[in-house]
Amino acid sequence: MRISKFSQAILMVVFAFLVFKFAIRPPIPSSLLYFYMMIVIFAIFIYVISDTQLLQAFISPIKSILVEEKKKRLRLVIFTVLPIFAAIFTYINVSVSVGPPAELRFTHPAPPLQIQFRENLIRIEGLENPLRSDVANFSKYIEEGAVIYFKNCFFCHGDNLDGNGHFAEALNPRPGNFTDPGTIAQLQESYVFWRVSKGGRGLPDEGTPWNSAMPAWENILTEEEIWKVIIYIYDAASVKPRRWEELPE
Amino acid sequence: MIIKNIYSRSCIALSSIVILFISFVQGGIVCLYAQEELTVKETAENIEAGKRIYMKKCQYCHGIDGDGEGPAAPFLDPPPRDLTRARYKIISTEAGELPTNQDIFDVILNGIRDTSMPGWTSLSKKEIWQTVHYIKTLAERFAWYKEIKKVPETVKIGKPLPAAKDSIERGRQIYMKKLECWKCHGEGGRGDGPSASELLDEWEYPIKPTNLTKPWKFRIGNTEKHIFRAIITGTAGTPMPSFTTGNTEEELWDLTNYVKSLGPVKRPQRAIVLKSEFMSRNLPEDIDDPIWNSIEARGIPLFGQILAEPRMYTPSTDAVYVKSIYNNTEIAFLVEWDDNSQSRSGTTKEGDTIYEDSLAIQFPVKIPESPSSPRPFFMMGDSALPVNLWFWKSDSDVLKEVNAWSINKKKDQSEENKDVEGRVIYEQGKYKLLIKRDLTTSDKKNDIQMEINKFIPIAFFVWDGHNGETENMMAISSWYYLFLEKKHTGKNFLFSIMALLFAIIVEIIFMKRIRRSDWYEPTLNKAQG
Ligand code: HEC
Ligand code: HEC
Ligand code: HEC
Repeated sequence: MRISKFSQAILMVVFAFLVFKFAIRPPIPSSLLYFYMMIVIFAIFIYVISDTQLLQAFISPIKSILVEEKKKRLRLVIFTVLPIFAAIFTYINVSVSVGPPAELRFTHPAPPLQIQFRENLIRIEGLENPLRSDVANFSKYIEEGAVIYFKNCFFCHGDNLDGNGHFAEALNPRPGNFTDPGTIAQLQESYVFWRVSKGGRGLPDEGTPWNSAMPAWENILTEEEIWKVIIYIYDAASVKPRRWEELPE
Repeated sequence: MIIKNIYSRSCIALSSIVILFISFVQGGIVCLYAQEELTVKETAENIEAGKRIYMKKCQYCHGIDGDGEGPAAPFLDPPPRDLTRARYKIISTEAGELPTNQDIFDVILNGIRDTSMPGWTSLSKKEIWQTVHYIKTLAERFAWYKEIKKVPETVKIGKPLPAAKDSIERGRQIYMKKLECWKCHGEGGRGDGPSASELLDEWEYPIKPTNLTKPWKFRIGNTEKHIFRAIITGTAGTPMPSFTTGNTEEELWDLTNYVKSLGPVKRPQRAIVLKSEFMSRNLPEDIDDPIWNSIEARGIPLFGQILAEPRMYTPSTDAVYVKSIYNNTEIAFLVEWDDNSQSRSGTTKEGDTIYEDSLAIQFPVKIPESPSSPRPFFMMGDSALPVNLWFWKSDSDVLKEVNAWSINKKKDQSEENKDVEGRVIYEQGKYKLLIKRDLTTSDKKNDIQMEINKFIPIAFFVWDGHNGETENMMAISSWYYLFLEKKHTGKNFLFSIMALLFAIIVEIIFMKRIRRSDWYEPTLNKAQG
């Protein structure tokens, strides 16, 4: 017996679900599972509507249930079961445990034009790392930056620079993962300087400064020490800072 | 647009699925790569390459010479290992023996749980082997073994005994009487035994016996076989002895089953939302009230306060477990945390200062409008948005209410303004604090006013007085949410009935349309013809 196109599609969806749910270890989180299932259903949908004949074949079993006299009983069953399902589903969903509310957070809000660093006013716009041009001493700076990093930062950002320090698990939001292209690799060093100096509390409101555990280092580290540690994190994470020239107009 | 070509059709469908699978492959690679065979030999070049990696990645903790004195060392507990003495904690060989190469490889790849020693998955397998060969040159004992051609033997571990009730009971007898594990690990297993406070490791650093009720902290692993191995190998370099002689294998499995039974079946999950459940009855006065057993505890992880001076790098409390209930007038919390030493202000026999133990629950004074509207800084507020703290301190053993505008600006509320009440018990290395307050108070300016169905920010602070924790030195948490769950109002039923009616209406409209459409005709004709 040939399986109808419609049943094939259903089987495919069920199969994909089983694979995602049970065949993959470690288990994928449910939000991701929904997302993957959406993609699978979408792919099948595109496949079906891409050809008229296929579409006909796909629809015919639905059609026959809806209109054929012979299938009246089945139709009735489906039409009573569906609303009951809807009711049960709603009941369960209304009474499920409260999930955490969405906290909208901009990870990289626009930096200020200038910041007060101890007694000095430092202009952020156009600012370059002053130590980077000192090629002769560059490896010394990396070395010194590493020591600063391992006395101050790795608890949170991790010695792999992947944001997995031994305190990271308890932090929300989690510390930046410097090896990820979405953090320091897409920032100018001046931006990083601002973030390190002013920490989480220096963020504007859209950065939810009340949640960020990133300390403000301006009173603990000197300007030069911050530039050194910045050199180290770029070097150790093997990424390059974004240059000012590359800014989109 | 209809795509005629069968190939392009399949292409679209396939490519969506391919994209999907790429995301899984990453996970797969890690598994495959760990299983590959050892190919990197112990040659001078590989040792040299290993040294370069060590100098880049490891020396900041383990020190340039491998003596465990890197710049990060003063901030770590446990301290980074002194690799020059070849004392390895995770070994598959006999007690006191050197680890196998594979043991060292595994520990570098996987790291040591619950310590700052990370798993180095960022290094390739080859790089890890090179590092293994290098760090072996740091300790002479490895070279000596090579000279006398001694290869440490791995221990064989048999089959676990089923964890039946009587096996666990026999294990308890061994734990309490025969081997006296309790003297270090405590009667309840929380590391609070009478000898616990005096233990030093080989390098004379104070060391705490592992909290056996938190098996996810066992370095060696927490399956039966792992625990068995921990007992027979002991932990090198620490006071944890090895217990091989004088015990039958069966006894050791009984003991293993008992150790295993001390921990929870599943590690309590960290939860962002702490639900407070509604009760129509009076809230319990007692910590031991059975009502608490029906409430699920939420784990809230803590980290060291390292944002403001003086900083606390090595706090001893890593989590609090919280339950909450409320009724029409009051809210109650049961907070539990492990502390292997009950302390009050004073000095030890050696003359070290001890501080009091303490815990604080923090709320904003004003509940933020929405989860994204401004709220006080998580570490005791800021000048614009103060916080309300409910403090318990062991010295006076009373509860206090405090307001704070920053970690350095706190103010006690006056005695007459006090609305919180509660009690504490300390038992077998664990504090249990019951704390209660009316949902609303008269002091609207300084006290949090609890509201139902709102996400109320909540945070915790814990001080362990025996660990030098006082003032700004403590364990802290980020903001979490307290949510007073709505009472059952029949809303669920209302919504369900609405959904039911809605579905029926949709069906009726749908069928009406179908009957009028051209779908209907051909099938009818066919049926007639
Ligand atoms: C208490 C933990 C903690 C410590 C210590 C810490 N950070 Fe952070 N850091 C965070 C957290 C959490 C974030 C992410 C939240 C945020 O953006 O504020 C962050 C973010 C950052 C960012 C921004 C990344 C981005 O993509 O915007 C930089 C840069 C940074 N940290 C550098 C450092 C440096 C350098 C040090 C040491 C001098 C350090 N951090 C120490 C917790 C910490
Ligand atoms: C952030 C600091 C840190 C860094 C970086 C670090 N370690 Fe460790 N390492 C530790 C600590 C802490 C311990 C001891 C943990 C304990 O006693 O439970 C340790 C223990 C070890 C041990 C002993 C394992 C055992 O079975 O007892 C080895 C081997 C080791 N580290 C190798 C390395 C190598 C190789 C690197 C570099 C690739 C490295 N470590 C980088 C902190 C670090
Ligand atoms: C003299 C004190 C002492 C006694 C007695 C003792 N332990 Fe321990 N035990 C320790 C210490 C200290 C540690 C922590 C070692 C470390 O930090 O690496 C430990 C660690 C452990 C661990 C965790 C090992 C790991 O891999 O992390 C287990 C399991 C354990 N002990 C079980 C027992 C059992 C079972 C007994 C009785 C047969 C026992 N201990 C007796 C001091 C002791």
